[in-house]
Amino acid sequence: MADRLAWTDGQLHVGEVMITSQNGVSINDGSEKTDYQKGLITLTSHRILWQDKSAQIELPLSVVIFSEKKDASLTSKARLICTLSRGQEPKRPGPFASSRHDEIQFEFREGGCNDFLRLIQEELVKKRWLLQPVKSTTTTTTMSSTTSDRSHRTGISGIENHLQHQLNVQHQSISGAFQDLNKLMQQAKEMVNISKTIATKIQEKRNDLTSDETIRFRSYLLSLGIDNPVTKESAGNQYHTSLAKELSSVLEKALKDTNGIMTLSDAYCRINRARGYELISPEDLLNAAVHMEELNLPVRLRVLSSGTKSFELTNRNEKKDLQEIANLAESSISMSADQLANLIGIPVIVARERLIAAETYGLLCRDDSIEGLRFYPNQF
Amino acid sequence: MRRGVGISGINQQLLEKAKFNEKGSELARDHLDKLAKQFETFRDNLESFAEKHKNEIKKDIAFRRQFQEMCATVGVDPLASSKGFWSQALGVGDFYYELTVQIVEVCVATSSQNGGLISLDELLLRVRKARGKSRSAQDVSHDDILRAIKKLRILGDGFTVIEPANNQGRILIQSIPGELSMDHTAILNSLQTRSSFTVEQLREQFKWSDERIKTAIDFMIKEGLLWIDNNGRNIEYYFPGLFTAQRVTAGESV
Repeated sequence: MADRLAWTDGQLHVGEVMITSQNGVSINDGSEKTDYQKGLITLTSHRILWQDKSAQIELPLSVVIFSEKKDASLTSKARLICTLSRGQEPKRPGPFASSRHDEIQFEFREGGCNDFLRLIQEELVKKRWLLQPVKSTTTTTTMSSTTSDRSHRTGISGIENHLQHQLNVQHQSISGAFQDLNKLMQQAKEMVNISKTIATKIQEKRNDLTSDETIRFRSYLLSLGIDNPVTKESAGNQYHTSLAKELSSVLEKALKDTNGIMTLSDAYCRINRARGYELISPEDLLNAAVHMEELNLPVRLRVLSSGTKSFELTNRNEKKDLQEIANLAESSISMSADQLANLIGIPVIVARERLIAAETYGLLCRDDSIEGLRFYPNQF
Repeated sequence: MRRGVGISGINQQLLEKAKFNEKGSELARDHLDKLAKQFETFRDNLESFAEKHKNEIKKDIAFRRQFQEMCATVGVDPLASSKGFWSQALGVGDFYYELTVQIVEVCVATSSQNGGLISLDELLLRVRKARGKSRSAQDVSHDDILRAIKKLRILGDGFTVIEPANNQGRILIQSIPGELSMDHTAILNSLQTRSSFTVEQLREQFKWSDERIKTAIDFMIKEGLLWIDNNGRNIEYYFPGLFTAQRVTAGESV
């Protein structure tokens, strides 16, 4: 549909904003190459602009019904395909008088197709060109779509109009959604402010709340997702304590397979995969984990010296564990973190931590070279 | 709690409002009562909102992003807890928590090859692949991934986002803890359209001493982030993580 391209002076219209640019883009009419190769493509809120040394061309977004990407192949780089509508407005002067195709393809020779596609799709949803009339093209477009609504219900133009209609409906429902969202957020904001006031009073010890009331307050904060120091020192929030018990039994089984120690993200994945729905958040996991030790559960949280956190079986014996590792190092002369990881089936980060811990206990010595960090039994 | 209705209700509300606005009445309890009331109203409104728009949040990338940004401005975190309102009513929780799991799995799968360094583009592509072919599975954006990673960091397992200088260029995700210094990130960020470099190029671009260059390179080799290509003529160093990033940018599938 290359006849929809028009000459332009490249000046931005009132209310039009630039979104992104990409070099090395060629224009194809349908899939046929044109003379317009390797130029600078620019996306604005209203149009697609293209320029090189000799020409400046524009394509209004209002005629783009649909955009998608075609992956790179042997013969070409990735392409952005824009399906255009056959409008009723008089054709404006442009590089092509006519065209056999319904689409324009932009070939991205130097990359950037993915980002451009994402941004153009966002702009096609937002339809900012409808908000402010830019020249008179907008009014003619809306007028023409209503006349064509009535007269062209068949064939390609019928389908195009239907698509446009669907997009409009979607757009309306989304802007309705934005309005509802706004109202909701106003309410949320008010509650956030009240919470801040209460929290300040609690911190300044000016509060007169009973412990029941404080618990109620904390649960409001939790429900709303308001981050507050008051929630941090959660003295046994009921949800988290029961979660701790539930997780501990799941993890106990899993830990037996992973040599008694597991990183938090590994645990997180296993737990959520097992649940299938009603997944827990990373914060939930952490908040539950901190309670495990005090609840005397068979699994507990452990913070390694590097700051990495892990789960371990409570009845693990640290000294015995490290001695075993030293023995393993001895039997293979020396040991690196990934060797250990492979050998006993634990993650590399944890293996590294174990070796360092063994070193701290005096069981191993390190050899730090460009070939990596290795540990040897301590002969000293 | 009985919401005041009718004339007596109005009087009651007026009374409460007066009591509240009274200068002396600054009890935390009064604030709490007000909060409780608003909470109930809010819950109802959220539920009707969810009825109308729950699907949109799941399917529409731009809407979801708008939602997240507004929450951040207001000061609420819809993803903080699966027991939170937002999660329960709108299902945003499940969407993001599942995404988090997928991100971890992709990073674990690719880390032996790229040393735990992957570009955001490649990560997005692989996650989409993992999600399957259905249209809704594809509705995941860069923004969604970044938010999910932000949550992941709480677990303390080394997920970091490496932003490009001046916000121009590739975003990289590091999934294995290893402290990259400013020199290391400077090298990474300088390679926007390439995945390899030579010592001469670094010297030329940064004007660092040979000692400083060597230290940076050695560290990254040790960490498994950098590979050496000694092809006889000169030594080139390249990042497998960026190598695949290049292919992704060029539009190849992974």
